[in-house]
Amino acid sequence: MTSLIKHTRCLAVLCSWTTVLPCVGLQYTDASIALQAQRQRIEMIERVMPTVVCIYDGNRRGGGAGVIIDAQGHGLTNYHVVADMLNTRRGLGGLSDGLTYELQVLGIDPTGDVAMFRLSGKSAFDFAELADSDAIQVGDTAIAMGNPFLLAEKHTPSVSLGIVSGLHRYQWGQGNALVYTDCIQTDAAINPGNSGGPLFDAAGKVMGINGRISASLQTRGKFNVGLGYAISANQIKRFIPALHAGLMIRHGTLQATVGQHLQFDKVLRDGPAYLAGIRPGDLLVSIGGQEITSANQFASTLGVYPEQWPIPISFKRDDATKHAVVRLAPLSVKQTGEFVVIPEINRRAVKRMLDRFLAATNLEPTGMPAAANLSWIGQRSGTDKDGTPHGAGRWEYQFHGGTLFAQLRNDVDSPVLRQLRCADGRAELIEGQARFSVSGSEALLMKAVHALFDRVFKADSSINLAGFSHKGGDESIQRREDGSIKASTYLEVLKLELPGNKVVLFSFDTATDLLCELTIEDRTAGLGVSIQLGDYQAMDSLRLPQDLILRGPGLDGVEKWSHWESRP
Amino acid sequence: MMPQLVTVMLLLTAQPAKSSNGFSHAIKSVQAVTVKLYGLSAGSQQGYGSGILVSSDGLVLTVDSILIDGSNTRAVTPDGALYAVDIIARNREEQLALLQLRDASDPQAKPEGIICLNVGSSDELSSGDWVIAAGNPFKVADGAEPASVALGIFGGRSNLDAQRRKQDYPYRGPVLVIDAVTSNPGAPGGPLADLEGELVGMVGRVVVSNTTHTQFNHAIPIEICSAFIARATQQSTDGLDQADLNDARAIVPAELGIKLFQMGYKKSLVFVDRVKRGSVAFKAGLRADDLIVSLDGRGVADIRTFEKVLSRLDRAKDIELIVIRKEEHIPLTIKPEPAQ
Repeated sequence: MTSLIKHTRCLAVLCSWTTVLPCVGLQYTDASIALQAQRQRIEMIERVMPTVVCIYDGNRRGGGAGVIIDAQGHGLTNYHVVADMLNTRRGLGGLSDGLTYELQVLGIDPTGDVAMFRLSGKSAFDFAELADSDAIQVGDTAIAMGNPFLLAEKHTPSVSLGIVSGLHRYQWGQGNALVYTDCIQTDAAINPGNSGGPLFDAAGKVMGINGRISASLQTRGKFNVGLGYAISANQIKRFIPALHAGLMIRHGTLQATVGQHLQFDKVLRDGPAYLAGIRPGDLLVSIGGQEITSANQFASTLGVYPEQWPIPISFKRDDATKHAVVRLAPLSVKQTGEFVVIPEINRRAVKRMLDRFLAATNLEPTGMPAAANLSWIGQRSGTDKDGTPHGAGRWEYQFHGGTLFAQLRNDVDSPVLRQLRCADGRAELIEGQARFSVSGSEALLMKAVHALFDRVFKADSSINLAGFSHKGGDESIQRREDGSIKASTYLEVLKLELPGNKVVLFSFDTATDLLCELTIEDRTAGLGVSIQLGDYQAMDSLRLPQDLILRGPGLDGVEKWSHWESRP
Repeated sequence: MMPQLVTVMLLLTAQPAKSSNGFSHAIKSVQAVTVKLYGLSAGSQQGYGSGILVSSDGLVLTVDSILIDGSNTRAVTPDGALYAVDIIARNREEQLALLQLRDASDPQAKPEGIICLNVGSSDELSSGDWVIAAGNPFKVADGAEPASVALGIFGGRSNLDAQRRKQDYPYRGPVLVIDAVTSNPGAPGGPLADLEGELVGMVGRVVVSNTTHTQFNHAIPIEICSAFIARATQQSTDGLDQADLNDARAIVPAELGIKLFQMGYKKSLVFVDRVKRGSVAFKAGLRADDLIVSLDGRGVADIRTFEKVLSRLDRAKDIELIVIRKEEHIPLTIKPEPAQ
């Protein structure tokens, strides 16, 4: 018998239950809001279901899940889902339309347990968008989709619903592999077979890739006990260019450790931290603009960056705070079997980036005709190598039949001071004073501009991809005086090798697909020049850069690409 | 019409907080009182657990387990501060323990100004209501990192009939059945709250139901926890300042001067075993062997119900009782005495 007294729920209690937003999907009180939330949830699930992939290895023995992130069929999954397919790079991907598609494994990130694949066999795939995982709050709706226990008969993924239970969790890996840094914890059911599948937010964006669970092995085996972990979307975003390029990308390390009170105790000589000026005894203040308060957070914060990634770091010595941007060294990871870069995959990534650039500048599909006579007139202020100012110098560049001419005058009507010509990766002085050295920075600059015209702008039906390779991603960081981050841009980097040990790097802004930096290095001479391109404006139906900032020995100035012409 | 009105009202008075999901308030509330415990590990006891801050001077409620048996039990509060721990009381039958946080460097010092949750009522939960459980299962969080939270639905009340590692589990009282998976190492001892962020229970230990032979996610109702805290703090020392303890302190039979006749943990009738001479109960005319059948106008069929009703009464007011003595119903009034 019970004498528990049922209290009528007072208004105050009822109120709090209706504060919740009906769109979030989980919270409701009265039936109409509940039904509305349910309808929205069903609509969202139906919308994203075609983006979820049931992944099987070639023999259909093992499997997992994945999610498609673009119309060409590129998708994300866990490294451990595709690890057994690396010798053939082949598998199968089943979609909710009931069909199986051929799956090719592209790049892998064994430390972060992420891999990219590409499905083929359909002109346009449904795809899901990646969320901004830094904006997630504990309590947000989390919907996991995948193929737990390989239940899906016709590749219709299973769906489970929960909330975000924790953020910025750190889960140890096996050595340097399968480390979950800064991951999302959820109570949505994650089970074997969910691996590699998406964790959606209420709007159907991918917050992360599910891949790991806590389990009480002694009592219940490796099944869901209410704690699943997803690799956050923002971590994956930094790795995506390299994954596209079919590379095995390692995570980065500072090659330095911090002890108690965040004091650096070991700093490897000539490692990234050492080169940034950090010495044992210095105090760590911040990484990537984020203040560090514990050694655990140090590991967790660093763990989301790829090798070679530039990160701003601040440290303290004798009460003075110093700022530096360091390039992280690769963290070695045990890799079962050999991973080779397949040239075809890499070339496809090059073409994909260039196509995106051409589309963004309207050069597609015709490009600039190869025979067109392009001219560009700009002003540069600066000094020559020998210190001679060429303040109001007026440079005219002409691209004609694959050859780039450049001539310098004081103004429109004055005689040509010097003229240079560049073709086939060679620059030479054809007119002007002999004291000007064409083997220096000016020549490198000519070669870079020539490469840009010849390989990219003039792209007609096919881009000449010879010598190009995809290097992966990078980030461009601008800092203020006080060390805080002013702006940051994620880049995709293409490398073009020219005769004579010269290398041109093209960096594209992944948000706009526009070329934002071009550098050329003469590795024999140990010389380098960079051009930053900005302020893209519409000109003759094309979008082309107006601002150029040139950097390199002997070059100092801002040029404006003021005039474009296309003459027959 | 009414729900719409309510919604509009709330939009106007909504907190400026960036709560994008309806659970933010409750989640932050439970995380703010969840303590990470570290202690003895033995067998399947993993050496870590969870607890709830229940007083401003650092009392922590948790489950009674081997975890706190060692000499070096440590607690980490949500701000990341590390404390040593004294056991104030533990009750094997109810599987509850009350701990006192101590400054690790100065064992005499207690923390001050700790914020606790409002104590809600588990009786007000109906099946289907949302509940939020917090804790540190699998030691996922470390230092000042926030506790894990799980969202679940309150399924109903049941009397626990369970075993733990092939031994009978001593607690046979009522539990709140929830569907959030809390039956995990390290999770027991954490808070269970409603969407208001009010404490309605404490996550119970990992046990196996004798009926279904499955692990079973449950919480101990807050009323039972509150009664335990009240008894514990009263028995413990004179050193505890009564006024300092929060609302969790409820009236217990001992306070009135009565001891009830209790045998085992089955529901037993409310027989008075002894009455302390000179106590308020004695003055009201209550005597040994009386059977209490009504308290404050409500029928009390067993000790559990009696204690629960008693725990909610106002200390400052008269307490109305009906007892059966030699087949005669006798109404009695216990009058409060001003505190000395």
